Amino acid sequence: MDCPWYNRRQRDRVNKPRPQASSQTHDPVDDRDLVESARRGDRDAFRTLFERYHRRAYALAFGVLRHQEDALDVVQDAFIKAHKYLDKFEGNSSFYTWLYRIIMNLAIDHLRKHRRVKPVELDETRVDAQADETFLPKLLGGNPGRALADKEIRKRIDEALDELSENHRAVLVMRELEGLSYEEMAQTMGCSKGTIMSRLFHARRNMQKRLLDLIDHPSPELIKELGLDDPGDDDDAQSRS
Amino acid sequence: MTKYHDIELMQHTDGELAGSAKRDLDQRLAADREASTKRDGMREMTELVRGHLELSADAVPDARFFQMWDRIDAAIGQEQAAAEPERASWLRRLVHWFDRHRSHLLTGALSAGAVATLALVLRGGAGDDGGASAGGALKVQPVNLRTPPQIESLETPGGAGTVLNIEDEDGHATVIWVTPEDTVEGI
Repeated sequence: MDCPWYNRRQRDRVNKPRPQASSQTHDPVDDRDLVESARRGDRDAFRTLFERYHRRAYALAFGVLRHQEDALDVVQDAFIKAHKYLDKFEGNSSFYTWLYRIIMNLAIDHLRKHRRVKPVELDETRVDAQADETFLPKLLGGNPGRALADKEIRKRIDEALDELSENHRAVLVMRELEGLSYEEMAQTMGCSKGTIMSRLFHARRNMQKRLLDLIDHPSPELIKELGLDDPGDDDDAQSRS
Repeated sequence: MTKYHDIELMQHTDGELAGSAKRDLDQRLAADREASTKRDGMREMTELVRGHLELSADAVPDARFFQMWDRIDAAIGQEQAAAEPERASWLRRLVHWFDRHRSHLLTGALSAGAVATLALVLRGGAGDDGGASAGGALKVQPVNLRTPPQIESLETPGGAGTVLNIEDEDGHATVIWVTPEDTVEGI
């Protein structure tokens, strides 16, 4: 197209700096200032917000949905929706808190629309039902960071997350990744605090069971990686048995 | 020390207990090795899940997020472009309405102007009446009473004149009675 305006626009588009996808460090510009600028139509300000939170947003969506493409779609829709309704953001909470609520709502909607098998869950309204079940002591020698370097462990965590019901997984991810309180989770999921407690309890217990199976039959690489043959861990092994 | 359930231990680990319930479990955790290792097990699970999900997010290539931003940017652009015609259509509708009612509006404006001018002129005239309307309050002017003419002397050559002043409820009347001198009484 031989049009100077069009050519200039295309050149600007190509030369525009790309988002720093791997950088999560915040520059001095406050989120609220960026939100204000974005409200006035400054798309660069909104891009900065995207750069700050896209990976964290993805981790949340992926934790709930367990599917990369679905999680990417949800994050994309969440940012578009956030921009559309920026005027409704009152600033009582942080921008990310507002964004994660949008992500969670979209993720839960997505699960409802694309549910293939209706999950079977325990009676979640009765917290007392879990009174006889117990948590396990620490399994990995107190060094989760080292454990995560092991592919087998990560694969097992993936499988354990996949096996959780959608509601249990959503609560577990909100708590472990975002550190939400029971009350905040209850509001987000539209249920009682007791239900949230019950879901979280089951989710954690099932995750532990799944990992215990791996620890009880560890591969030689895992024993070496985690130092499971270390006599210092005997106390934990005894308390497990 | 009361027996605890693991669900309470979980609440304590998550910072959801307060008051005496929290104090009881604090004491329990200090003295009970089983309870403290369970609490450590929960913290370990938190680290594992959080670390695993963050690593999963880091594994997504940057290019996927570049593409995502391009799509978000395009969607925002479309949204803003869609909002423009909406604003423009409001302006167009306003201009169209003005065109349709232009003659009525002009007539109305001219009439209003004429009425306003007339009111101003009349108001200006009222200023000369001693400020009767200026202050808004009516100022009552005294009425000049008509007094009857006073006839002090009457000249009647060749006769005699008499002046009679009569006053009653209808007002005041003056009667002048003239009698010629050559009048013969009794005729």
